[in-house]
Amino acid sequence: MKIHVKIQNKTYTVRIDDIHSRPIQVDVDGEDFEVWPEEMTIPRDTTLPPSATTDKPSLSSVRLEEPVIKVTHQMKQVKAPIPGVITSINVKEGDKVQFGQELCILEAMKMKNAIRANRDGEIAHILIAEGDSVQHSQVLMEFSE
Amino acid sequence: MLIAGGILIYLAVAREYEPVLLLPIGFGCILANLGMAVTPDGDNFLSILYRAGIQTELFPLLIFVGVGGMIDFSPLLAQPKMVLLGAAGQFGIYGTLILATLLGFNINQAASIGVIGAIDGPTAIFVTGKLAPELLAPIAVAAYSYMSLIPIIQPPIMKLLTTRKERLIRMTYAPKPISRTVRVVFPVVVTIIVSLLAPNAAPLIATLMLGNFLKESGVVERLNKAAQNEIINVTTLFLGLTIGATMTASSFLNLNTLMILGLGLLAFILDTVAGLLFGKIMSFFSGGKINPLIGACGISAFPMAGRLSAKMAQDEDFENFILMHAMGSNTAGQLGSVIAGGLLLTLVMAL
Repeated sequence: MKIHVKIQNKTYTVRIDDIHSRPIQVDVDGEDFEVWPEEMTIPRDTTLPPSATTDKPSLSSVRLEEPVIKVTHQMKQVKAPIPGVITSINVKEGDKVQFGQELCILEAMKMKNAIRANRDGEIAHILIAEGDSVQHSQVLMEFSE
Repeated sequence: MLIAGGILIYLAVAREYEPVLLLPIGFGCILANLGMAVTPDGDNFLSILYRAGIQTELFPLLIFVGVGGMIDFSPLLAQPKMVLLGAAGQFGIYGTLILATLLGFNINQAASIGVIGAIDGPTAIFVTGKLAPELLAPIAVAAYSYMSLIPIIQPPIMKLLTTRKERLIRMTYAPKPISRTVRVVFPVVVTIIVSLLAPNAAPLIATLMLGNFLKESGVVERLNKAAQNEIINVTTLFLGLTIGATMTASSFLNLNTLMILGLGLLAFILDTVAGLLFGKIMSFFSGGKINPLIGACGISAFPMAGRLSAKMAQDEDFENFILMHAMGSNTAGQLGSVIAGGLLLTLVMAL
């Protein structure tokens, strides 16, 4: 995604390929930066995120102008991080869930992996059933917004 | 010794630490101290099982048929560089060997003690049975106890040697499809190569790969299921029970046993440290794309060690699923410990 950030009348073009990678690789006007977001303080609403730390102090005051709405839209879907089998589903459609709440259990390599909500929200659709084999990146659930 | 057996059973039942192993070992230990101990010419059922399965080295090999069926080599085949971690995870074997020699064990015994470090029970029994059969009981107990204690022993070392930032490194699962041909041919090719290079490890690698071949061939589902369930379960039960039944006060409560347990623990810690340090080196050279936690499962102990690494990463960041990478490193460790065991046999027997 591309974001234009205006700071003191100068516009920077910020390009982020994968918001889910850690550190996030950010390209600011052709210069590469690695950004470590504060994981546990993901914003609960559409206010600005806590300032992301960068390895260049001169840029630490940069605040993205309206990215969070986009970010949460990207996170509308809950995807399978690895292939496996869904052994249990712990929420229903219409449930309101909180950040960190367990949504379902994905068993892979005989290990139970808890898939948790990475945001607050309401579960709109559950696209899997217990016992389903899922592929990597398959959409498991969708948030209502 | 009854108390020792009780503790093992407690850990298995109440804490669920590898109950499949600890429960039979603990029960065997109690039986041993109620007049059913394993003795070289005893005629009780445990002695008969011991001579039939442990002395002949049949049990470790049968277990490997089952383990081979459980192993999925595709994470390793998709990321061949994980082989390095599997090799790094074996360093402790050699370090401990040297230390054990200094403490007065002969080279055969020292090599057998070092193998504990890979936390690969079947390989430890196999190597010890060939090199130092007199130490079979304490070494098997050490290898299997430490295998079940992985979730207690490894995490503090992993936390000590990695920074939080390193543990937070996300490794996205990049599915690289491994063709069926490669998966079918792999176990056969590995068997041939390893058997030629380290003929002493041939039975171990052959049984491990046979199990894997049963699974990947896809045409003998019944045999594959039997290997992964009935064969390995029955063997594990008998093996645990007989190993436990060697734990009598007279044969077990002596300085040698304590030194073996201590050295084995040291070997385990050294292997973990070597794996983690190598993981950090790889992390550095990859520009921070590799989470060094996967180095810790370069020991053997498949699949417990792999799961633990994945869990440690998830404890820090619940969206970080490094399971597949950990399993790549862990399967490499499983191969590594078999090959290291075979090399050790070749080297020591040549002396």
